[in-house]
Amino acid sequence: MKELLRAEGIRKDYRLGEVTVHALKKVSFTIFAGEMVVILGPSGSGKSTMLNILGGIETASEGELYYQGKALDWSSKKELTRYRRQHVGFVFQFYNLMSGLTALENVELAAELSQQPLDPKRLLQQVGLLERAKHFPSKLSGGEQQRVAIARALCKNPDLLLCDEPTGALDSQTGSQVLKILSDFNRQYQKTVVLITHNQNIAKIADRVFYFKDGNLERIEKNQAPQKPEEVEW
Amino acid sequence: MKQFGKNVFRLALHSKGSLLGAVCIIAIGIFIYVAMADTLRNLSGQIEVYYEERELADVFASVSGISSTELERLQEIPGIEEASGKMAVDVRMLAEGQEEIVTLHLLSYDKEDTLNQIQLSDSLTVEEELFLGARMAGIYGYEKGEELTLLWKGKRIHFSFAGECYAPDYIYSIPPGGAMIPDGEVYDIAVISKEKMEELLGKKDSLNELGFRLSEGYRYEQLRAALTEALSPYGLLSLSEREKQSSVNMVNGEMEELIAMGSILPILFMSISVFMLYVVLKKRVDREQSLIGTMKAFGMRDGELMAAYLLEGAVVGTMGAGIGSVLAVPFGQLMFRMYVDFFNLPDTLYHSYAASRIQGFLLAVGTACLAVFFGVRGILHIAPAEAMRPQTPTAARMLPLPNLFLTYLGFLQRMACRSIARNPFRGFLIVLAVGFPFAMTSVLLSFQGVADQMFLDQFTQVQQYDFQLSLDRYLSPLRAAEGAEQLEGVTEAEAVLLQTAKLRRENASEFVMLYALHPDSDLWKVKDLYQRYYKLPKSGIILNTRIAEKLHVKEGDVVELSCEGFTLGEVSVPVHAVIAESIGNGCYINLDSLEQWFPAKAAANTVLLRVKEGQKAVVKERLLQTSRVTWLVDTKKIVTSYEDLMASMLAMVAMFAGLSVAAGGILIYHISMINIRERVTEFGTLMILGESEKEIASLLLFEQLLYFGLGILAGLPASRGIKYLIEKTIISDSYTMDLQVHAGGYVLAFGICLGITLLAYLAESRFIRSMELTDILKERE
Repeated sequence: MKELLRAEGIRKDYRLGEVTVHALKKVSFTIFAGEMVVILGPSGSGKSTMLNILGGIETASEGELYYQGKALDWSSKKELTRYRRQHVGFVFQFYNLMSGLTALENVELAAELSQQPLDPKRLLQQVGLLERAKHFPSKLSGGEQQRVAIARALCKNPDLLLCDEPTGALDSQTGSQVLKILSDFNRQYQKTVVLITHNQNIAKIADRVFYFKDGNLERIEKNQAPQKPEEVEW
Repeated sequence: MKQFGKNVFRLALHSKGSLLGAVCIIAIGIFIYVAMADTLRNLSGQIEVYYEERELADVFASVSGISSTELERLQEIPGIEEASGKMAVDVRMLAEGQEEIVTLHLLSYDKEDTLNQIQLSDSLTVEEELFLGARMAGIYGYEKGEELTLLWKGKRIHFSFAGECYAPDYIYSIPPGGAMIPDGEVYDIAVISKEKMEELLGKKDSLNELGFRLSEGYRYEQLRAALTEALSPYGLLSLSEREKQSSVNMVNGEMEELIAMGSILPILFMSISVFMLYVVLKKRVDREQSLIGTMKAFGMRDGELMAAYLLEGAVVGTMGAGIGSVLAVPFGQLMFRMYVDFFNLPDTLYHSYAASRIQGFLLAVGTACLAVFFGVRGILHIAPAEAMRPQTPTAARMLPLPNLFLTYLGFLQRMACRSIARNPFRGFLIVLAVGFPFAMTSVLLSFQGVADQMFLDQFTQVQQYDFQLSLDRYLSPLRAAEGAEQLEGVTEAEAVLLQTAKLRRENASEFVMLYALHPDSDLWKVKDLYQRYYKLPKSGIILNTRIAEKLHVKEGDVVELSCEGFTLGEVSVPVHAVIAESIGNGCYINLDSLEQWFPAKAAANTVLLRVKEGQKAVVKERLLQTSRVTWLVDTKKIVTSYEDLMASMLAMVAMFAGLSVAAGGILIYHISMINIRERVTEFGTLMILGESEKEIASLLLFEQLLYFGLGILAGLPASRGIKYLIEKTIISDSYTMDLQVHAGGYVLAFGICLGITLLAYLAESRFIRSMELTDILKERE
């Protein structure tokens, strides 16, 4: 498999007053193109920090991150912006939709940022929300908002989709629908998906599972036969 | 509840900038309010006491002459409790090196006077002693015993300066000839003994300035007819109630202006602070609804929750009131001194009144709490369960934007347009924040134009002469003009008649100054507020709107005119036109037509002169030597004194304009920052999606400029509203204000508001640059 991302000795320290918190302690791994990776770990294990660094919204205190073999320049805001714009899609736990834009416009917003966007309407259809395209976020349920957020992330046609607890605020049925969309995107378009969760069961849909604890990548497990999202028990 | 209150105050520290901004704006409002209230209390209190102590009359009359015995007899009229009178005359005073004609309004002094009692700085012991009005005495700095020479009918009469004098009916003494402000250099009152006055005038006991005290329960209107009838045989020249007496009227006018300014400006500033506090607290409650819901779930009542926020409002109000009250002291003293400069009042003292501060405090705390109440009343609608859920997106509405319009815009501009159209409340706040200072400053900055129009134009476009000479007798207009043209340096001369007259229409009557002018006058044009010139008719009178309104007449009506010494009873004169003038109470008639109405031949008592450039000083010097001239008005001097007066007034207006710019700046900046903080997630998400800081900044600039444009559009009618408010609140019998907001005012206000908007935009851009994307995500979680 072709390497997409390579983290080498990533360390991240935060200063909290007098105390220095070591959020990540020299973490190294590789993520391959088209892979579905789930990051598991308790609160404070460093998984969100890792995801942020992978997405270029946070910089490492030490270490290198290679995208398609090229190291990211942490000091260049411009380069990080270009990286996010061209290669990365984000799905957040609390959706972060633009409340002043309709569902379709939220997706179109991402399309306008991309050089090779996917069709916004088609994506909305894929997430089952075409008939609600003209609704504002305030008129959508939590699950519907998350599906719009996913469509928005996918619309950019990113090589890397980073999802921070995308099902955390959803019930099991809606959560399952969301996972299916993410899984389909991964399989159909051969795009890399990295997903953070607390839920051990969700890890079963991943190709590989990264276990984080106390800022360390404890272990990486490979699923020999990843489950389909609809088979996952919540 | 103590802990919740503590929490509210700690959270308030996150909005400390906005709250301090609100404190500053409240302080500005209270500062103006307390300073004006203190000045008003000091002035009106001291003037009222003075009126009472010196027995100011209820009714004033001027006649050709009446004896004390005959005047006493008028007390038999039911409703007249007391009558008192003085002998008065305008006399020239001569002094060495004099550059102006100095005129004294000489009053007779009698210790037995019961009304309008004169106050002297020392007792009058010698007949030759003369007391001078405090303003003139102060300007010339005469020493006690110094000789003063008066010129009366060609004779020089010598007096010795004995001290200063004050009279309750001459607190505001203005020279004749169109001036509206006191000028102690050329005109003031003076007092001599009654015996000396009788000797000077060659008349015994001939009182001409009368005052009447009305019995309790009687009003002027009830006695007007009886007094007119009783005084007519004595050559009644004018009759007025206390409020219309020249000095009282001017003093009241000044007080009313003070009340008007002291009410409008604080209200406007307090409105801004109310608006700002409302926005800050509303956004706070929106942000803190999870906390509020939690407290509700714990069992806290709505009232307890709101009380914690209201206490915050009370603290803000108290701080504003405290700062404003302290700053008000020097400003109040300055204002008081400015007014006292124009008022002849003895022993003036400035006090800081607790009542003004208590009122200011109540006003500040009341408005702040009211604003907070409206801001936090949303608490009532927060259900505990709802508040515990993650915040739902703000509801937006679909507002159609023309596709054609959107097509021409870039992606970010389209985003901005949608954001503006779909968040009307947010936009409304910024539009108001821009519109208000624009409206305020454009109006305040236009005052210079109004001052020019009201006063300076009067002496450049209406009264276009250089000198106006009052003669000590009536002459044929032709003779008077020809005589004046003989003077070297005079290029043009016109004779006119300025005469007190009475106009009546049914039951309404007014004593007016009649201006009989040459029909093709080059030196005195009849012009209205709207720059229209009027030609004097062959038959008829042109009336000022203020007079016409009092008489209830309109163009085409007929008024009855009577003029002591000129008409035998009343003559009917048609009203040719009713015109609005900036200043004065003009009633204009064609000098050539006087013979139609008056049995005597046309006569003039005033000459207007236009003088060659460079010859004014020479002509003036020659006129000073002429004993027939009792009074000389130098228009250049009047214009200079107006300019001096306007300079201090305009400085004050400029200060108010500065304060409204400061308040506007605080408002625009904080509303913009509140707006951007509210949209942190939106901008953070956009940046995570790949927007650069520069693109976000350009989106903000586009939005900010659009709001600015809308704010200016909203500010245009608002400036008309403020202009209307000022015009209607500052109503005076002496002038009509046509407050035209000129283009310069608009341009300057536009530039100032644009500057503030761009500064707010720079602060927003800096904020965007300082945003940590991870913090935004954490905040969300």
